[in-house]
Amino acid sequence: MSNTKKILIVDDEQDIVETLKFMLEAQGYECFCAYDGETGLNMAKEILPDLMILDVMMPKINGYKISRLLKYDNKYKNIPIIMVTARSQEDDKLIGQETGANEYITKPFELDEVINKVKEYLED
Amino acid sequence: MSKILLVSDNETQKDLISKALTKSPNALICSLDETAIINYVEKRQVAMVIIDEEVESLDAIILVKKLHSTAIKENIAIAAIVKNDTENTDLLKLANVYVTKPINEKILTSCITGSLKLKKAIDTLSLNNSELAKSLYQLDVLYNTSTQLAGSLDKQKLIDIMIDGLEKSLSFSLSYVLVFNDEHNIELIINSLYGISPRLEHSLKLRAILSYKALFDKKRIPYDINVNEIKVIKNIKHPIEEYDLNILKFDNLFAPINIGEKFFGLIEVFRENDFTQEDTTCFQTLARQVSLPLENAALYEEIKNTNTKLEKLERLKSEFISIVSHELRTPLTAIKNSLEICLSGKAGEVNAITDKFLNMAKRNVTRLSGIINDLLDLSKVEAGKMDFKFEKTNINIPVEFIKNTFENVAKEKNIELILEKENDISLAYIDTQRIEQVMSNLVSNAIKFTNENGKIKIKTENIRENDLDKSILLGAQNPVFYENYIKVSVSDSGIGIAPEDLKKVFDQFQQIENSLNRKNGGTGLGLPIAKQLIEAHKGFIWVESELDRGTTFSFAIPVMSEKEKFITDLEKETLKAKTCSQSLLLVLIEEKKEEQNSFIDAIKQEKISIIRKTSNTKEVYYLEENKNYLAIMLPEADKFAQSFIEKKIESILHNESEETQSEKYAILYSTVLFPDNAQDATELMEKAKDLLKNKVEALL
Repeated sequence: MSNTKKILIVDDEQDIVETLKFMLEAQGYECFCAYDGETGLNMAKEILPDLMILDVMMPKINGYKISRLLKYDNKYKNIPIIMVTARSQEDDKLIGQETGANEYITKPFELDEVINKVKEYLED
Repeated sequence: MSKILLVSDNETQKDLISKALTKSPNALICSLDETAIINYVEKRQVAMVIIDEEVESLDAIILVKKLHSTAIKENIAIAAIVKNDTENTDLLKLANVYVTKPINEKILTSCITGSLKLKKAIDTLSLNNSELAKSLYQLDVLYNTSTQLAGSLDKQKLIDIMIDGLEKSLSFSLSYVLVFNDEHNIELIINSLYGISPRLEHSLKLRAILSYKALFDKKRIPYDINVNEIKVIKNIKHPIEEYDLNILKFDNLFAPINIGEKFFGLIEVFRENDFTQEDTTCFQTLARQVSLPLENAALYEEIKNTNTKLEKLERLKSEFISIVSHELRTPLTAIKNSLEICLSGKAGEVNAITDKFLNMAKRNVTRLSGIINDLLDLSKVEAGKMDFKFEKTNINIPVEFIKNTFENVAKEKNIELILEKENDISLAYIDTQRIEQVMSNLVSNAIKFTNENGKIKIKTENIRENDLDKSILLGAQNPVFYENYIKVSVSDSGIGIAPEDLKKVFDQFQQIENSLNRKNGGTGLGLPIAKQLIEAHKGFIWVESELDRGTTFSFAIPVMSEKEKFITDLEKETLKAKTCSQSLLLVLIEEKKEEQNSFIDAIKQEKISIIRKTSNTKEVYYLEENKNYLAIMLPEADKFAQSFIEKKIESILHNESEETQSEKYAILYSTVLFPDNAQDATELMEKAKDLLKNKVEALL
């Protein structure tokens, strides 16, 4: 189906990616997964997802940088980004927002919390 | 025996005098050579000079005049033999005694013995006097040295002060101090007037070791010393000349230096002139005097080392907790997510028993997350990394919110939850979210420890400083008190806390035995966190309890004026700037015209743009004392930011004064930079105020 929304999940923690993927697919979304920053960035440009879930601490390119690179590019700046991280300091939150991420969620998070945020952006 | 010098060319007279002196022990010498006579007197080789007025080969009066001052100084008597009708009054004045011609043998003898007796008495007196002066000087040195010793906690400096004192009071040729810092750090400090030959240096080392071994006689020596391990420190005054082994033949004094009962080192001094009894006393006193301050210095060093170690440990602990907690969060999220998926039934049907155990797992994962959050909070607030958002707020708002949140939980246990709030409560600077955290902790604890059908009362009130029971404020370090406080208390009718456990409730990881804590899934960190959070508000938290009757937890938060709040913030920010080696800028602005605040309003409007343009600056604070006074604090602002801000203020000032046509100097401002202009918050504020005052004075 062409109107199935595509979600790209980028996180080096495979278990987290898998649980997120399972729940989001159960909601009827199509999920793509990447386990490092570089792959994640390339996939984002290739498949143009409707939304991205992005971890901060990752090998090669970190989440902040991916977000900044996408948000400063007219082609991709409209992709909503939900940042997920284990870091919780206020400064980190500020940096996250400066990079243009739309949402910011700290680990450990409730799956429902993520799903609700996703729905907010993808279902009007 | 002292000699008597006769200046006379009259042979009969000579015979007469020598006859008169046969019974006295003094030898008589004669001379008519002026140079020789003066030489005898100056070198103190004679006790008395007898001059004949009528001597022909030289002028008696000129000779006496030449001898006079030296004779007085050296206490040498001058006797004159004069004509019966002499007119030489000068000679009579200058001589100590005189005899008239013709000489009467008896008068002459008594004259001479009288003069010599007088001389002896004066000599004894002046010797005593000079000894007294020397003792006085030594006492003075001792006193000064002991004052200096008391003022230092540095071992090396103490040794230096002692040697300096010894040098002043004894003027030694050479001294050495053998200092045992520890087993492999042994120093030989040599202070010498002249240089030291290599073989002297070596023999001093050996001598020091031998003296050290001799001190312990047959007892075991504390350390074995190897002569090659001794580190030599030399202070030479005049390196042009050099001492060799012969210095070891000089007179010497020796003393051990002890710290309390423990051996610390030893000292020996050498001097060409023999040491007197006073010198010995002085030396021993000084060697003893240094012992107490050395002991203090050793203790101080120990405390300092322990402190540094503790600080490092504390930091490591915080870092460790922070890292571990972050690492724990990720796997915990994966576990939690998996459980949720299973429980949602989307991964397959869940039967009742599986559901029960999955729920149990989920409950415990949630509990574990709680513990990790607590640990993180604690390490953050301890490391001063927690950011607070203090705002002037009515504390009833968060208190009421928590009361409503817990109403249902209380109802489940049929506990009555009452809120008795002061409607006229003062506004205080609080971080609402953190106060909610503290309140939720206190109220949930109260519910945990109160039996069914019990009662919990939450109360808010205004109190004054005097109402605080200072004996009960546990563990507050260097507390600062304010005039007014708001107090919140949570009283339950629960099981109570035993008096011996009361002190421990705010300690980390202290779980009170027999408490319901474990059973009820507490982390034992809630109260320590609450304490830290309240202390960050400059407040106090305390507990009162009676076993089986109930417990009351209370906290008080100061009601600060804007100025007090500003000072508190300034203190906090300067401390932060100090630890991070950053700068901080303080700007003071005063508007002279009381009826209008147009300029300050303009500055406030410009506030945001000022901050944005000064690089890293995070936050700005201001205070209004009389509405015409403004203070701005700019953390991380540097010299460039300072000049930028000054320019900015000047430009606003310029625009404003044109618009209002007011005087050009209706506004005064000053900027001071930390740490360039001041070392702490108080100094910073004073400097800024002084600058403002100077500007006012300059205008008048």
